[in-house]
Amino acid sequence: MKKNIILLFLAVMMQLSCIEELELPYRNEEPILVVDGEVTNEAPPYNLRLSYSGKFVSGSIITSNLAVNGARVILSDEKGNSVRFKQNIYEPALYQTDAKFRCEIGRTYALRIEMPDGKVYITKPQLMKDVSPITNIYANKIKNFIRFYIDTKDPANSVDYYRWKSYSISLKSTIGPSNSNESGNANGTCSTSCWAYNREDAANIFSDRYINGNEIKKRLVLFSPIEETAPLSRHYAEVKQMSISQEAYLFWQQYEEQKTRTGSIFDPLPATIIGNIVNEKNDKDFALGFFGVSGVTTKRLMVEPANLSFSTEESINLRPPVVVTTRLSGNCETTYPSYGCTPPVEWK
Amino acid sequence: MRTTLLSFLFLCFSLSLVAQTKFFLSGTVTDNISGQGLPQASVFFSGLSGGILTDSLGKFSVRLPARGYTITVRSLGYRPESFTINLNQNISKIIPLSTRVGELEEVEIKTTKEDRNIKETQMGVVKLEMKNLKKIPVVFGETDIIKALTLQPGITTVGEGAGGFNVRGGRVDQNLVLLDGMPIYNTSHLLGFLSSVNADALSNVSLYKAGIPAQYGGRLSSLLEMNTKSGNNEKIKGSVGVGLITTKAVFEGPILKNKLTFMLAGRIAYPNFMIKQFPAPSDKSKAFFYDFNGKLQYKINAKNVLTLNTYGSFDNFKFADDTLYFAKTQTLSLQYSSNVSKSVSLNIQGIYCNYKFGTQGFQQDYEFTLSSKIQHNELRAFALFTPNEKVKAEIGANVIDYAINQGDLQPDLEKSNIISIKLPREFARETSPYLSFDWTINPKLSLQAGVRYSSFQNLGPKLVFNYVEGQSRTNQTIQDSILFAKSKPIQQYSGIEPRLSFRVALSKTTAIKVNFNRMRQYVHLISNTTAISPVDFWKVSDTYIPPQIADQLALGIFKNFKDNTYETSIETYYKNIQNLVEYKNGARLFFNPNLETELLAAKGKAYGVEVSVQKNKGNLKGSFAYAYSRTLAKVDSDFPTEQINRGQWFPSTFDKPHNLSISIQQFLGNGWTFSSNFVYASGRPATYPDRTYRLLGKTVIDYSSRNLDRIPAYHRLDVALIKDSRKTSDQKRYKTYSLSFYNLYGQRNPYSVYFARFNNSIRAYRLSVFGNIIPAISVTYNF
Repeated sequence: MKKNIILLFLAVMMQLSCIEELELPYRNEEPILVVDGEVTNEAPPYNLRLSYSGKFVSGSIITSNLAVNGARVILSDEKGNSVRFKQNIYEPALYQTDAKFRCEIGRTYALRIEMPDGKVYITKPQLMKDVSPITNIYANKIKNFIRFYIDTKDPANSVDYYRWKSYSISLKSTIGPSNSNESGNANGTCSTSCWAYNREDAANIFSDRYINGNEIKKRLVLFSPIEETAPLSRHYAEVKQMSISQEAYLFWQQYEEQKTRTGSIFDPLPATIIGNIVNEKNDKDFALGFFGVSGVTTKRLMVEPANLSFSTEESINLRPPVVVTTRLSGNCETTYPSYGCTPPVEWK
Repeated sequence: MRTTLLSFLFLCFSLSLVAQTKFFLSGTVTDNISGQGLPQASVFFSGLSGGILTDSLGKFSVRLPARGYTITVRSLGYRPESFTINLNQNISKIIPLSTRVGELEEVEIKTTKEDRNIKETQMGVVKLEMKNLKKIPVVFGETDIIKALTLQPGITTVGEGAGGFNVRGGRVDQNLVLLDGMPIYNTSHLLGFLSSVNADALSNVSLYKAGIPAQYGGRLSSLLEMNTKSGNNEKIKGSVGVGLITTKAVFEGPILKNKLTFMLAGRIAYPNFMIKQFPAPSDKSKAFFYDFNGKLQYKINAKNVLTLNTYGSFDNFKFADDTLYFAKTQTLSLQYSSNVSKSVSLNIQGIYCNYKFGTQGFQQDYEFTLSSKIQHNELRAFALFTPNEKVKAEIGANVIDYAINQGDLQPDLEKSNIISIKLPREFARETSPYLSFDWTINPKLSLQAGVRYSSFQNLGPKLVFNYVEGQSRTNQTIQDSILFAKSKPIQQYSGIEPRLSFRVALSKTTAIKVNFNRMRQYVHLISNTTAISPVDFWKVSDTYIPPQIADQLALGIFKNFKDNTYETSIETYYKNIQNLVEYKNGARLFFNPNLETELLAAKGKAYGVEVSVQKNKGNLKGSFAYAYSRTLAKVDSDFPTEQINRGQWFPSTFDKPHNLSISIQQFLGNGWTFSSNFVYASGRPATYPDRTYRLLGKTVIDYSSRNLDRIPAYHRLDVALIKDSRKTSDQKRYKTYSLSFYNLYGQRNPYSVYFARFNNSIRAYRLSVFGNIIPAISVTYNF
């Protein structure tokens, strides 16, 4: 029996499973159209990004070689009103509407993209649905983050799908520009410390299928990183609660699933995520991405970290972002997505 | 040559129907210690070339011309027995055989015994010898039936730790798994790491890859038949085994001497320390399982036996954060068998089976239990006629009632925001009469012919949706619906399933066999993952999901050398499958009331060659098995969402072309045995990225074609050293020790390859489950 136990421990001490990186080439199929954007009942302009699939290395801006140049993009409602999305001259993949055409709840919107090569991609008309307001917004602290939560009441007589988009503004600091030239450009005032955006980039979605008519309680919507050099400075958070279609829900569900693959054989089999944009003449030719139509309600909250309680509760539905803990060099305003040198004056 | 001539003479003689006196010789071949009947034992008669096999209770009966015979009886794992009789009246005899375990000289797995592979019409059968199963080195030292089977050609799994098994390109739900005739819907514990049936409770295991008898149906690829021990007739005995992750015990013995016997087996697991070895967050998981088998056998009199069988299994798997998976199987069967006369026996069995599984969520304000259930009630009856030694006829039928609960969601606490939802239940009935006939035409030719007629009804109550014709079925194309009343037939399917096997002996040591099988399957495991996962569920055929149908044609040549020391065979097969259940890309299967909008009917084909060489005698025994096999599917349609890979043939998830396994056993003397396995298999197909694009400022991977890539090949070497403390073969109290090293050279075999983005580039990762050598020890006390 003694021998038994010794060997038993032998087995225990060894790490059984392991994950290793592999050098594996993968196929690169011919580029196809990718559509990314949405319209809401918020104030225009509305943004749409049109690009081609291809090799992406770094940076978040789509470079001009992968941007769609010269597409004619039209948004129209069921009454025949329409507006053009026009290509932005500074960011070639970005197409924007003018500041006059505002979408409204209860109308349906369809998109038409006429590509430079003559192909036409369209979406079916989609209804802009109302969404209930956020009833509560609150926060707590965990390790290096402030976690923001919301509560809302789901209407009982409809099938609803939700998506939350959130960001916060908090104080960041850097070591500062490494050479004097850069500091000169940055005007000096906040080159080592600035107010910057923290955006939640996950598609945070929810279906009322299992809770219809009940409250959606304590939905985690945002991780706002606490800066080591300024642990007590304020965080300004904004949460948009959006109504989305069932189609959009299924799309973003697959998008999230694909992002969180772990290699388990219990992962769903990988597959193309089919969106809602198809070739007008051939429905086997579809574009990647999704064009959404959403009603939006917004709620903001400003918190002082010192007033928040600590919580060890597990984070469900959202994962904390990866945060660089060392202080970066460079100008704060260019290193981080800057809001400005001073915090928002009013936050309601 | 002389014997051939003799038997030929005999054949002419018996066929000429000369008015010669004939008598019945009947008997029961039993285990000399337990007194239980030994099924599939072969009985040979001097002067006759063919032998006969005992039935499931160890009984046989033949009518032979009056004269003297030397009778030889053989059964796997037992010492052959010979004796002479003078058949001058009807004779009934009990033939006890003694085990040869103490001699430790059997190979652990044999597909056939002596020249059975040449003499029998049956092909494509694997029989496991339970007593030597312990000598196969296995992971964590846990004896496992399914893992032992996967060392055989044509039987594979999708990966280490995956549940179920694939037979000749078939899916895991296409295996009919029967434990004492009771269906087992969940064949694994711990999400697949172990088989759900305790090997210590079993007396025999047979897997049919082809030539499935007409008595069985309802699954496309194979029949796995497992029978538990019958219970010792003489005295109470048992064994207790202690291993790294489980402890198990078996007890058996008489309650009323020569009348009532029992067998009770149980297994309990403590796998948590093993789970802690896995990388975070899996290391925070917790698991627990147990299973039990029970059997009561009552001998009403010499001719009639009543048997009560039960099996139960329970699994709990809690994932790190907030979810618990559970699975629970309960089965019960009552069987009555009777030898009505010398040449007629009757068997009636009633079966109850209930498999329940689901998920529990613990997130605050969202506490819930979601459960699914399949209930299978079956009545089976058959009669066996053996008018003479050349002919065996069987007639029977079975009726199965299915009731399936696809999902039942309930809030667990009053304050939970989850609402109660019940997906509608499904009901169906499957009725299948059959007829089968074995005929030894002459020593060189024999035939097994069977026909099964299966009919299936999907029954109400049910709300059936109608979809707009000429359009893809989606939630948006629902036109209207019809409500069917309780027990009202909604959809009916039926058809004939021919089963035909033919054997031609070219010489005493060579035979060619041909087999054709048609199988129909009306229940389907709905799963969108590579391996069986805890959220997979069963579904019956309905208006939109037709039965899966497979036709298999198999051809084999069998040759033995050096007095049956070496058994060799080459078998080939081709399968054509209709209505395989496939899924749309990105299908949502779980808790979906309109499942038909996500399912597709695929065509399938599978083909392969299996080569096997076995050495059955001497101190060194072993086997070599190689299989080349492919399995492909095709889904074509006019609708883009109902097409996979543009309607081209693509490899199934478990298509692994090359499979090699070499297994040896060296008997070292003094109860010591050394054994070793080497396994090589091609990697299974996988879907690698073929495009990247930008969405929400992040790089997204696109997977536009299914299963066109392959993960790297798999290979592994295992060794084990076994010590049996017995000095003599009839010693009652003894211990067996086993020390094994699984994956001896620590190969980091890929369990899966997956891609993830790192910053904005895509990187490939390989996950190895058993990426190291795994030693294990286990001790079994027998008394």
